[in-house]
Amino acid sequence: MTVILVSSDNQDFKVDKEVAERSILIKNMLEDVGESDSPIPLPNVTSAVLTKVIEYCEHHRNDPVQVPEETDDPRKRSNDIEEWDMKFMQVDQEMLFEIILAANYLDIKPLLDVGCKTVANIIKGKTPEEIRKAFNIVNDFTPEEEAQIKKENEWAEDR
Amino acid sequence: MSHPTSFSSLPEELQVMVASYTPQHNAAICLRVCQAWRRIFTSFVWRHIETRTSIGRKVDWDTTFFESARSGSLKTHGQWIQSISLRCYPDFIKEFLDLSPETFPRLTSLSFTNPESDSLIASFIRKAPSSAIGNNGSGLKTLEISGLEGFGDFGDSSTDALLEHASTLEVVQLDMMPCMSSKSIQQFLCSAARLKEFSIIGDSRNSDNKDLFLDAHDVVSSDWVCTELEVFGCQIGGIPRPDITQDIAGKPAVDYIKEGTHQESLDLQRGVYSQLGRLTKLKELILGVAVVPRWGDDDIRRQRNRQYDCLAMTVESGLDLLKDLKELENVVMDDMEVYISDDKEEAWVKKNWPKVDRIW
Repeated sequence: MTVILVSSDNQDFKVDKEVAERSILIKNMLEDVGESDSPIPLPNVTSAVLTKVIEYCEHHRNDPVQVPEETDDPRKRSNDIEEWDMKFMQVDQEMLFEIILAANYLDIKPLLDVGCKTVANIIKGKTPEEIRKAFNIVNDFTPEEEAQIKKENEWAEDR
Repeated sequence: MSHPTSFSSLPEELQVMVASYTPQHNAAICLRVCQAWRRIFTSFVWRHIETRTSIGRKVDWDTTFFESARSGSLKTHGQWIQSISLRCYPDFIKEFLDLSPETFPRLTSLSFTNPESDSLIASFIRKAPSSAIGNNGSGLKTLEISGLEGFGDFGDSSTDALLEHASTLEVVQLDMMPCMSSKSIQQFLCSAARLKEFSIIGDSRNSDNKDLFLDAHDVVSSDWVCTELEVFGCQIGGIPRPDITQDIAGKPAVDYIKEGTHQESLDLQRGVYSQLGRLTKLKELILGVAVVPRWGDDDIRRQRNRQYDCLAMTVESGLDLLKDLKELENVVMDDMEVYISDDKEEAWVKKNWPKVDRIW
């Protein structure tokens, strides 16, 4: 069985139901309407982003349902990303954040996790200035503020 | 769209999610990026306070942390702290407390070494949110205190503070200190329903503090509620043992071992076995503690370390009441006057405790 997804720029995507149901949002919609051929509009997702999301869902179509991680302790959380996902996430930053937003909207938890981990990995090992440059962020601290914050949190900087 | 999608276009909950995947030492860099990042990353930096060794470091942990705390940061950010682990000297523990806010509302795990006094331990434990109020945290789950350098005294005030958290505690480990009375230990085990690990092992015989033992008469007085227990480490004493006629040095056994008839001894032991026998999730059972002999130790010292008023661990005394402890892996009965290695008992262990390969 297939379903038709319609992106914000009005492109139709025909995908297997099983693939589309990786998105909890779509799964719930399909359950609500029952058997129906009517296309599903996704007004928050562009065709470029939807293409990527479908690619992810195709690859992970047979994954078992993920058990949510119990711990929110970053020391115990794994930042490991499997190889295929890592390659899949090698996109420009704008696309990376678009994928995260789409994964959140479509409720695809594993994709959202991979997206957030990818951003966390970009941050890793950079100085504040390098992070600002990487994410195009303006430093809105006064030099005194910055020095004070550094002093206050320096104890945590060593791993 | 006028602006390309970037980190700042994520809703705050997603920014927090990214932060949750950032290890503490990275988060400490991130909060220096800009005001918005500071708001998001601060709680992740202050979630865990753990002393680090200064070996091979540019800056000492103690120096940087206390400098920060003295400027008021511990009071300001104490609300985020979930776990504290301090391995340091008594002066530091005292200063840490002086610089702390009234409470750490999210504190679930507290671990420290070398507390100076009973009142200091008590006030540290009381920094955890009171479980009675049901604060936004889940209450204190882990408490580990060790008097490694000979400091520490878990006395009456500490005991009262501990009992206030009995309903939430899952792990309690108290090492190498004079400790709670037998009645208090019993009261705790009768009220700590979530307890998974309980271990109070100390060098008690050196400090002539017999109170560290859980008295068998107290054990049988009321039912323990801690049926989730996986680790139990505590010496149980006060059992008459008329079967013992001489000590390990070959001298006639001391009087207190004989106070009580053979039947009284068996009845009391059965009571204790029944209590232990209900702990069906138990993986480790540590009833005896070996004191590492020191150079020049004489018989008197060895004699003092030896426990005679303990369970005999014989089939006759009721070992069979422990047959449902199928998860047991590790059994320690060091320096106890027991018969567990006798043929009958050895066969019993083999049959009933499949995961135990040997008894220490």
